[in-house]
Amino acid sequence: MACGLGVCWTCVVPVLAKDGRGWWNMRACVEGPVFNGARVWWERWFGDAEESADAEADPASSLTEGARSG
Amino acid sequence: VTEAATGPPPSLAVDLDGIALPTPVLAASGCFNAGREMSQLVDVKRMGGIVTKSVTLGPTRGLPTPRMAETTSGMLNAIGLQNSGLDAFMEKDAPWIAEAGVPVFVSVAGTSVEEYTRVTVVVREIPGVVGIEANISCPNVERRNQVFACHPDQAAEVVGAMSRLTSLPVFAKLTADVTDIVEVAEACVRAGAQGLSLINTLLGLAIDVETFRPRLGAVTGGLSGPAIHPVAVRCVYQVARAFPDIPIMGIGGVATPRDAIELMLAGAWAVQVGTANFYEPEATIKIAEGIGEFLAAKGLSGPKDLVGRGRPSDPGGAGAA
Repeated sequence: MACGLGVCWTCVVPVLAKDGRGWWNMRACVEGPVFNGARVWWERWFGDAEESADAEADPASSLTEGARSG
Repeated sequence: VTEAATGPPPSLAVDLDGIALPTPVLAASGCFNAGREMSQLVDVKRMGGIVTKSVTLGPTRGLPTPRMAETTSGMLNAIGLQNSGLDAFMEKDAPWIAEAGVPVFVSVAGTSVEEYTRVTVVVREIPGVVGIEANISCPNVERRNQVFACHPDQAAEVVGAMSRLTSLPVFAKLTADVTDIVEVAEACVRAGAQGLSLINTLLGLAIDVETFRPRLGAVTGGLSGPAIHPVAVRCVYQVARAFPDIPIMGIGGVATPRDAIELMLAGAWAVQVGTANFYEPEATIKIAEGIGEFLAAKGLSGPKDLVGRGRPSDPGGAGAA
């Protein structure tokens, strides 16, 4: 890891959907490496683990949070 | 390619109590997806088989990054079962599996018995699928009490429910992070598991001494690679002694033919290669070739001549041939 082949799921970047209603961990190696910076959820990507875990428990509020910080 | 000095090379084919595999070396779950991406690099028809990345009922986003940390002779990962879910698997991977010409085990994961069974009744219909692997031992789940394989009764409930729903063999994938793995194996076999996959990653933790922070986003992760190989050999040995007629796939730090052979001597009928795929996509093929050369050099007729022979009381053991 990271494999560079799309199978290890290590290199992921959290990216918001185009309509902002949802997000997914995209693989930088096969779905990137270039992402639209406005849709990258920077706070989750570089936030500390506990905040991220809390955010995932409530996807709706975390999306709002992601849009603000993005 | 090396050929034996005399006679034809030994056949590498194995039979896991009704499941015919061309070689005893498969790709382990989580290290090969379902094979579609890797087939651009690897001739999958030369592999013993593929165990898919675990499929969950719905899309699973997985855990925060960083998701991997290298450690001494191994690595930690905390992916958290990220996958697009059953519907996407059936749309994108099932058609590939049906045409791939390689035996496939579908690994199934979930957070409830119902989730496991709902995935099982769908994936059992895919042509080319020879078995189901019940991933009841992934350490990267939100709550440790979600690890069904840490509780014999819960393991039996999941595996029993899956086994009743399909005529395909269900292999229960177990963890070594228990007091007595034989007890969990027994519960699974009694519940209907036709095979066992031993072992999953071991729960570990690495801390960056410069930043004072855990190196994984999820804090803990699953340890794999050569570091865990002796643990796998021990687990296979213990379980194989208790259940010599139950097919076991040995997993844990297999990087060379000798690692695979060691697991088979402990009692594994086949082995799975995980971490090594990441730096050598053809690892399963090369390790199988190495087993063939070993068998030829020892004058053995096939992989089954190795299974369970690594025992102190066996007069035909090491070096006998």
